[in-house]
Amino acid sequence: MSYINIKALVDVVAVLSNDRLEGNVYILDTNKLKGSSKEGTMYLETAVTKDDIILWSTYGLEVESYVKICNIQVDETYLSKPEEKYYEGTNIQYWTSIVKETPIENTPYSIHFEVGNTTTFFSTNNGPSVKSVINS
Amino acid sequence: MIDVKAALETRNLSDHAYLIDNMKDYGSQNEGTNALISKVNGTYWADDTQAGEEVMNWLAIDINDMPRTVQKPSYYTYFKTKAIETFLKKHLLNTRKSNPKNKGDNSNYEIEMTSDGFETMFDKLKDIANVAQGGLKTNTGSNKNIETVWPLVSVTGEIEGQNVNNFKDDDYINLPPIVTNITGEAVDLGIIYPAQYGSPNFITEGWYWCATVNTAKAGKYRYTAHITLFDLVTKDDKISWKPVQMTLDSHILISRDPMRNGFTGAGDSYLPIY
Repeated sequence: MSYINIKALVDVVAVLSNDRLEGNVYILDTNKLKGSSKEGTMYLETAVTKDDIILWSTYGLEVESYVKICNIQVDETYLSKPEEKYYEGTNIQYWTSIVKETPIENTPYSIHFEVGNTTTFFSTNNGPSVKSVINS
Repeated sequence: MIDVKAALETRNLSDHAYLIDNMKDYGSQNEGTNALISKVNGTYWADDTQAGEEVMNWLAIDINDMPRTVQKPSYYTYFKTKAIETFLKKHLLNTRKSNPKNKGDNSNYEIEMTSDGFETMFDKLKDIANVAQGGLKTNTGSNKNIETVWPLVSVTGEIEGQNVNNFKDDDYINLPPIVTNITGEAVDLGIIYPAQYGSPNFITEGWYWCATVNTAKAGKYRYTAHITLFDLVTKDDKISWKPVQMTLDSHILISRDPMRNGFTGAGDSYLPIY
């Protein structure tokens, strides 16, 4: 079991002015040494093994901009349903999920963001994903 | 953005650093990689002198750290509150009715306080004062490991204290990476003028690096960011942090695109002055 931290860094101004998430979100994880790839893109492929704990959080490139993850949808064959939690003593959230089974092949999931305000939504399409450490 | 643990393990910063700026829409290239070229819009007069300046700021953030919006004081406040709570539970709340005359009068309780309790209280208060005031004494030029009274914090923000048995290898957050200097071609040629400034930036203890850019000198220039990472050292059940200095090269590209009036969109001509 190990913790895998995934950060989605969002260029809020660029997302809103281009009306698209792709190319304006940089998703990074802490598992490159175990085989994660496509770091820094919307299509990050995170290498995982059974019982790993994944933590997702997000923030804007500029600290005064607003972005929040409002949901994460995963294939529940491999990952437990992501839960929203808050850092103790703050209203700042993170999402967490446990790897139930090591995925056989690359398994995409979706992150849904509120960007700029609470009524503007953007979602990742066909990525990021989780994959097996062994196959990487 | 830096994967600090991976960079320390491999002693290679370049493969575990991802540079991102907010100028992509203006032409920055290779965002989210270690080969960022930051676009700077050139501004100059007809005689080639500088017409304006842009300012660059650098922040180094660990991917494994909590979001930077979770300010350190909030979890140290939590630490402090927990310490006081534990103390109260153990000692102050252990009260008894001391005066038989006041039997039945709930308002008159005396606190039973042992000398042991006082010692614990003073120790706790000392810890809290150290955390609040002592903080981290950083001298990145020194080979000596850095000791800190700050407790280790887990990736989910739990206080893990300083006991090495309390945490596993991968579930604590390293001290944040710190930019310690900006050097290289862009500095030598007088393209950027970097300096360290103070601000309420909780990630780096209130310090950050900033540079003004000579926007009249078009071209692509290299610079080197000097970054110190901190490796956890455990010895005799104590923790300390070993500063590890690393460098990372990056580029800025100052454009000399055709002049354009930012307000009217007019091209290379006299400004429309009314």
